[in-house]
Amino acid sequence: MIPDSIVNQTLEYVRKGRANYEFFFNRLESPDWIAPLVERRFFSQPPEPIVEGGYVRFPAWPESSYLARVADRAPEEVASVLLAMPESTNPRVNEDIAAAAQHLPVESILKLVNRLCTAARSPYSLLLAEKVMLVAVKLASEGQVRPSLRLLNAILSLRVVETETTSSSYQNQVASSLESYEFERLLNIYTPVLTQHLGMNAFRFFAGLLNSYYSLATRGFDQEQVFTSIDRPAIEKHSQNWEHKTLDYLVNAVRDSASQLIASDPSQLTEVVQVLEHSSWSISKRIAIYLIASAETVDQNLLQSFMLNRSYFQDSEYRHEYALLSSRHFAKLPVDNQEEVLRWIDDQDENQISEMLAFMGAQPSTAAIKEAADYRRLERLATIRSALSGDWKVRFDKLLAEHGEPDHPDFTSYSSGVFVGPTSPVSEDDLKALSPREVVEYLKTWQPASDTVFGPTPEGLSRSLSEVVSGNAKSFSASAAMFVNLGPTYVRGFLSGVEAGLKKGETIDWDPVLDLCQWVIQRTDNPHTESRLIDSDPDWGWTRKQVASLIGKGLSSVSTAPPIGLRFKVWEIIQFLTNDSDPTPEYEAQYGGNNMDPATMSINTTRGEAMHALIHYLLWVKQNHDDISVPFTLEFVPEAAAVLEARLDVAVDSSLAVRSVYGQYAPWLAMVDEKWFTEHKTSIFPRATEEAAYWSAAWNTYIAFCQPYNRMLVVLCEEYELAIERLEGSSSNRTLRDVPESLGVHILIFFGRSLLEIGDGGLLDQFFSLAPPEVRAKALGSLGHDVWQNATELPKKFTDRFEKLWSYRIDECESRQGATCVELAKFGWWFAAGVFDEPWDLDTVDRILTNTESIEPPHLVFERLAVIAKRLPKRSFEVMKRLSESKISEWDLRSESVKSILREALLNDDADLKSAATDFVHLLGAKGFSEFRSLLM
Amino acid sequence: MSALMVLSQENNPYRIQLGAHALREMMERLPEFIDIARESKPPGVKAKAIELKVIWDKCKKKSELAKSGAWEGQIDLPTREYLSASERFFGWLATENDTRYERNAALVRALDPSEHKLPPILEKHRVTEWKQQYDYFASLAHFNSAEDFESWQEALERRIIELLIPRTFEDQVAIEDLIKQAETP
Repeated sequence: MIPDSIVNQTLEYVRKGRANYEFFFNRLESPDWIAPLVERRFFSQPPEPIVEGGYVRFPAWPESSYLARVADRAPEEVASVLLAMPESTNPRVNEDIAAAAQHLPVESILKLVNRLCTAARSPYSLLLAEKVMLVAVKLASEGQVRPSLRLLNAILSLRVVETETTSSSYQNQVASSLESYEFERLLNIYTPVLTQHLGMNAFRFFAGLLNSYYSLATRGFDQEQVFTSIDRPAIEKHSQNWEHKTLDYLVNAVRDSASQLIASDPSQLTEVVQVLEHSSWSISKRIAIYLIASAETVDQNLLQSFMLNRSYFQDSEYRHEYALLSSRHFAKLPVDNQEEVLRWIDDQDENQISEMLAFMGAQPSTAAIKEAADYRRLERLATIRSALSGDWKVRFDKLLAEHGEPDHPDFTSYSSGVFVGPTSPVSEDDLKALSPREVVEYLKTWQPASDTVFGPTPEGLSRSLSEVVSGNAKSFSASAAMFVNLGPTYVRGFLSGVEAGLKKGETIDWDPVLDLCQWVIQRTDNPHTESRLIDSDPDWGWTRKQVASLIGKGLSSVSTAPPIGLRFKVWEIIQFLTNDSDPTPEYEAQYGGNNMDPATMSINTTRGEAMHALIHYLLWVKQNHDDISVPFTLEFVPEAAAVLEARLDVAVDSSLAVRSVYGQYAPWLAMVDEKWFTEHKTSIFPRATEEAAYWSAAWNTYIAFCQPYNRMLVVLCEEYELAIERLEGSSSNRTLRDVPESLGVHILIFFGRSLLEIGDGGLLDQFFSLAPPEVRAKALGSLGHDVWQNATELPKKFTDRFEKLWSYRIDECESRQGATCVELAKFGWWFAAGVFDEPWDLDTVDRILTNTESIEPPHLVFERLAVIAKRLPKRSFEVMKRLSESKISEWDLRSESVKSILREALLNDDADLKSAATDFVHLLGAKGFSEFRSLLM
Repeated sequence: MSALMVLSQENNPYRIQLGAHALREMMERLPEFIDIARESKPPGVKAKAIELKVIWDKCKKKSELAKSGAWEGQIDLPTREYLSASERFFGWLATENDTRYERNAALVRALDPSEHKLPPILEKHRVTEWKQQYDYFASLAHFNSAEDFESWQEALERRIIELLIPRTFEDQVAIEDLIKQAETP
């Protein structure tokens, strides 16, 4: 008995706040508190679920948790409190009640059964199901069969899952109210113990649940169309089963419960089988056959009633289990019964076989029917081969010799794998073992089967070829001429293999490869050449794109480029491909726009790839320009300059993909010939409203792909201005979504390099005055992230300028009170990078927190504060406290960094700081963050 | 601050009442300073009673029943209007208490740093205590008895300090000690 004075004194503290209340109930160990707390009306108001903004929260109830904890030591008292407690829909409260109930006297549990059933049927059962299951087990162990089964019904109830019914649906989807894994887990763990306590009642319960499954599954469907052998091919654990469906878990439970009963008392087999046979569903009858087949000893009458059931013998639903039964027990049948079964085997229905052959598209000739009938006999006899003797043995051996070992005679259909993609008729290892000539010979002679969809295909072989060539590109490239006259699928595979070899750093023999490329570009498309073959190229289009890609790749690096002597051969091919029709305007209209940005389309179309190759060609020629006395210009490559200029005319080339290539390589074009670039700048980036799409294609690709080269700021200054103007009120409907942000990053970097200034009305001012707030924020955040990642490598001169920039931005925001200042929140990255002076940094965070609701990312800001706290504990503590009051998550605050900052403050000699830190630790405690208590110990 | 200032004026004969008035004002306006969404202050009992009195005066003047001096006879229109107004007034008075309770409960919740509420049984205790303190100072401001002023003042100060500067872990040490004391045989 706890004195009232202590209870009242304790409750004085408990009342002060939620944290104390939770602490109190979590610390109680003695059941002696129950009576005084009941007297003070605790345990009488369980918290209900809280619905907020479309979400529902289930608050924990420390009072019920306490009861669950002491129930084993004071079952009577806890029972009386629980029975007086109002019902709750909060599953966390009900979990505690269920946990406590396991320790209560049976008569008390019985009074809670209704409440637990209701709770277990709640859609939010969380951890409740297992706790109620344990109550069911307890009741079962006490001989309380009906209440135990009621609880099981509530926990394991099934429902039809609402899904869209399609014409191919043949049954409803049925599932447990529990998560699938939980349903499986509970059945696996508790089926044995429930069977142990409830015996036949447990088995009947599971069998009933299985019946319910099919009743629900077939509701609204034709029950004749239910094929349980498709849903669950074998009753035993078998590779043909899926084993991860509600049905499988139920079948396992029925099977295992029955097996357990029979193992403990074999005489129960008859009753078990009767229950199963009484079901309307074949799945239960199949389990019955399986159980008889598995039994060591079987009553002769029972065995005969199943083995001599013609329906079980004949119906494909029972084929697997009947085969199992025959193989185990056929020999135990009396001879006349055996002869009866053998007669059935012999007596194959030829009409039915004929219909089946016709259905499968085969000719039901007399010979074919006889062959199929014999094969069926063979399958049946195979399952009882060890029991055969005399004529039947001779007959079986003869059939076996004729047809070979039957494949899975116990299954009507057997799944041996899944189709995973184009397959090759020959392995890569086998292909590698062949010389290039032998490979070509194989490619010429191999023909795919015309009657199969899933067999090897030309595409599969082409992929293997590509792999093999990439591993030996030098040798294969020298033999490129041999691939002339092969079809496009294989030539493409070959060229793709050569390109992959280049990417691996292999050198190749370019001359024969270029000859093959020339041969390819001379091919005219004939859509009917190979399209009749499954999984092969419809024409030469994909191969031409591959040619452009290979040449572009080769020219892009000194180590892989062809000798300059092949310049004109290379150019001929590039020039031809820059006239390719792919992409057509129709194709771009269909697949471009919001589906694919122009830059991506350029590497997925032939002309686009050819334009990439053209740029690499220019650079390749420039690299080989050895007359250093004459600067290189496009005048040295008039053939390429002509194409570049021609394709800027929308009347000649209306493709946005092609235009994007000019943007992607703008710095390189300017580097090769700045005069030419300047003269053609207005064509590359046309300003007319009707050509805005071309401007965007070139500009967006430039911004997204190119670094901010200093010279480009001069060359493209007007375009930067226009781009900033076009930012105003935009930022959506772009496929390259980071373009506005990247533009901002360019501007900021130019500022960092002292190429732009604050307050001169230039690009920087324009950007901050016209860009939408989120674009400004993204740009500052993106560059801040890079600065944070590379802080140690950045020159101080560069980062110092950003001190000035941030002051400018904060002043600006402060001067426009009430304006959106989301960009200031991104200072967190810069702070975390530690590139500014510590006192300035701390003051700036303070200022920013006055103007914004948060600072990002708070966890990194706390980390840096923890570092600074060693030198500036007071300011770090103040800023941390300020940040803790902003919009940050609980988990950011409950960090080791915050603890470090507080530790520094608490160990400091400054009494005021120590006192403020102590107050703050208590405040964190009041929030419920009990882990901070150790700081004060 | 104004409460402390006025209470320190030892020569001021009304310092207790003025101090109580300042404390009541502080309690009344506390929600504004801790960012609780609060509806504008509804009309008080006095204003509502004045509204009712207008109807009552009209009834007395115009009702035939009033003229008899004994309020006898069939209910006429002025009397019906007065009875209806009375029903509305007492109905309002009942809900006004609920609303006031809710306002005080919101204050108690807002002052608890935890995101989770105290259970109703404890919250009610805190709200009742707050109301009692408020009523005491309100009554004192109207020159009722100043008995026990110091203990009420001290209790209020203690409660506000507890709310604004919690000593959670010290409380928890005390709770632990008490539990230990109670559970040790």
